Amino acid sequence: MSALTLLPAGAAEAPARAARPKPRATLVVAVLVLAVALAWAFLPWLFTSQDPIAGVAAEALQAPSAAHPFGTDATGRDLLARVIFGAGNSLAGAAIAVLVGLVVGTALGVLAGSVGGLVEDAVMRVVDVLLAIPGLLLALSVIVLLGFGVTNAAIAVGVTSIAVFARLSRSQVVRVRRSDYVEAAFGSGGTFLAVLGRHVLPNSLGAVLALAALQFGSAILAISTLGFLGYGAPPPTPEWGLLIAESRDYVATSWWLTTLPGVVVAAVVLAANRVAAAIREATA
Amino acid sequence: MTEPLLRVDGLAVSYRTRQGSGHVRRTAVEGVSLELGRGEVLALVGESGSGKTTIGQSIIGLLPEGGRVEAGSIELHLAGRPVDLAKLPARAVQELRGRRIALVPQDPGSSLNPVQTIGASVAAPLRIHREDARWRDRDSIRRRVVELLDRVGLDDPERRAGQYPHELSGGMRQRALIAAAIALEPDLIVADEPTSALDVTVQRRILDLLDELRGELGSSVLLITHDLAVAAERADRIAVLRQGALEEAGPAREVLRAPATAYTRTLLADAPALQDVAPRPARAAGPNAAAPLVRVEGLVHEYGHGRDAFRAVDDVAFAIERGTTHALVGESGSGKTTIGRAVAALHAPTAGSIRIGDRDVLAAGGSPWRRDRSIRRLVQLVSQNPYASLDPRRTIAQAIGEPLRNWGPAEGGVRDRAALARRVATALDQVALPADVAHRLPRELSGGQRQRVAIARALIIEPEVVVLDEAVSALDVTVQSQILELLESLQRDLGLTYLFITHDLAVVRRIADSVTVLRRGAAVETGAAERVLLAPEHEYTRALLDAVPAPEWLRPTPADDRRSVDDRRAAHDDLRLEVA
Repeated sequence: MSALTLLPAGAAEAPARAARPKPRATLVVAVLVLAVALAWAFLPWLFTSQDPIAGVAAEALQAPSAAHPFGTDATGRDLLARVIFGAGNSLAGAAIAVLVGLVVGTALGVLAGSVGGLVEDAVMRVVDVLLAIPGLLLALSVIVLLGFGVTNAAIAVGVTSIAVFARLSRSQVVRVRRSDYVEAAFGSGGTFLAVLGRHVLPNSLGAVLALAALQFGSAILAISTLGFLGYGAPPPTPEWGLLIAESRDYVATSWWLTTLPGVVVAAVVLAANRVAAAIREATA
Repeated sequence: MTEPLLRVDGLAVSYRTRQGSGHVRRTAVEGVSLELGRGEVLALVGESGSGKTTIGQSIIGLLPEGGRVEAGSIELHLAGRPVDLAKLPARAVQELRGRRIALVPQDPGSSLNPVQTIGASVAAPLRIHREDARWRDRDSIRRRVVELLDRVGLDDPERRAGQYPHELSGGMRQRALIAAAIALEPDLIVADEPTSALDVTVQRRILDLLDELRGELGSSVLLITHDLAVAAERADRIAVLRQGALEEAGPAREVLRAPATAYTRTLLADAPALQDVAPRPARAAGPNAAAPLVRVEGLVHEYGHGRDAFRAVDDVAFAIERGTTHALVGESGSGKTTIGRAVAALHAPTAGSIRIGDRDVLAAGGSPWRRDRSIRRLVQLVSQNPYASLDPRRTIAQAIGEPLRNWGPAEGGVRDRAALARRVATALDQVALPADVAHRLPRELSGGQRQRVAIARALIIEPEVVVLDEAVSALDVTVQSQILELLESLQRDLGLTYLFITHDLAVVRRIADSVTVLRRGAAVETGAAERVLLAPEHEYTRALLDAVPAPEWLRPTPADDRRSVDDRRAAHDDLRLEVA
């Protein structure tokens, strides 16, 4: 096949220069952090033998030590155990929030982008209205409607991210819809749904998945915020936002009570962002 | 030859490219030696990937990031004392660039700063090289800019100097870029595909302008081009490059009349403008002559509404007989693509009728997602850019098989996996692609292979009419020639009817039975290819024909015409085998 032989053929290849520290290293750390957090969520008892709910009053407000690596709180509960058992609540909440935003938002965006016309105008104006309301205010309104609780807080946070998902997925769908290969697919007799499933969705959802990973991080923060404000899980449920909120009176005397759970939250959020960046690169 | 202006000796250039997690250096140019005399034009000719642009970039010292001159010298002889541009510090090369060596870039659309006026862009070299005492104050710079714009043939230069790039046409922008290049009367002008993005009639005028300026300033020109016909017409000497190495070099007439290497011979044989092919003779009126397969009548297409409406297609009519090729020829903006897409039922024209056989193409409206899909089995479109028209995530087998999956068995479709695989294999074979291509992705194929895939996809549902929209324009000449051969043989075997859209009259000469010449949406001339190409009636058709570059001394002699087409093709195939 002469078209092949005309390609630039085996050019001399020099060995690669000494490699810099690879960007993959940070990705490996990020994945490890997320893996540990997930393990905490599913199998918390493997990581601590302490009880997260019942405390030993005699051991209240102890600084971090070998027995209590994160120290203890005002009622003598082991803080590490509460962080580990809290992972389940916080991560499940974040997952629910992302799922709500991803499913509802993407459905709206794909609908608007692929159908176009009046439907697109109507959907996108509703999305504009959603974006006009500050996220926290919207989340609080939804919670007031649904009632307090971990799940409801998560749904509320998910509702606030619907607009972002809708906008992104619509722009991606519109980009792909205008491409030559979509026209070629219609031109070869493809029906609307066939072309949507074969070409439009696979080529437009990469960026949406990256956004989902990014939103996972911010959902943890948002749920913690709601927990801190008292709209999330009721005490004494261990939940990351609530942990920090409960300890705010002791900031001056017992730094570990707010700092260490805060570090855990920050680490998980950063890790989620790093993974999001990797997904974006891989699908770009 | 007297003392040359430029002497390139044993030049080797490599690029750093990513491979896996690390980088490797890939050689792009190796052991190239060239000489360019004062006032001469040297054409660097080669296909994509031959290293011609890399050599030009090395000479002006503007290799892209990761590029490096590995070996060799680039000597510029100014006032007797040679300087080696390859070893000069970047600062010193910058000193020469614009003053002694100037660049005319390829794409006038992206080579001018969109937020700067034309005048400011042309004045840039004057302002940068302040050591020239003549251009120190604003007034003298302004006067010089107007003088330059006038010199390159822009009308009303005062006003043009104040305009922005988007207000100028492609040809005018290229003139402005040439004005910037000659601002300081350089000794060497590197023109990198200066006309590849332009229409043929504009190309001719820009090349004429470069020739004139060279005579006036005594500059030498390094003309980088993929178009052998342009090189033949304009260059004193030609250097043919292949895969980064010099294939042969010498005076233009010697190289082209008596090529020393088989590769140059194939390039010559494949260049449509230089092919010794007479237009297809008009066919004897067949039994169907009274009822052509495709009939387009009174076609009008307007973009926009009311007073802002722009008439892209204005009352165009033509007919195509079954089994023949009709070419729509025109320059950019002539409406040829708009017509092609209407025939392929991809959009609805404002007025007019399009019939294929007894079917009204526009009956169900023209939109990609129209309800009545049945017309798609009659007419298929192959577009200019095969890469864009293939889904990057789907394998070649999936792409080619997709049309069959869109139809039920009763409509000629195939749902069964094994049967689908068999049909795809047959289709690949039909377009002469190896079977192992099936499981690759579009990005793993060459441009020519991708266009074969696009053709296979169009043909797999056995349409009667295929609209080929600039289907070979983006390809190297050798590949282009192979695709044209493929199209011809498919037409013979399957009785296909082609609507062939192109800007290239040389290609029309080779493939078309009948022609419609379009200008600004209107058909200026339509008729049998032989008649239109050999005895054009309209002056625009004549202008287009004249603009096809090809020097008289290379035009086919009457003796050549006596050779049969098959003889020539056989000789051609032998050449290709020799090269491969």
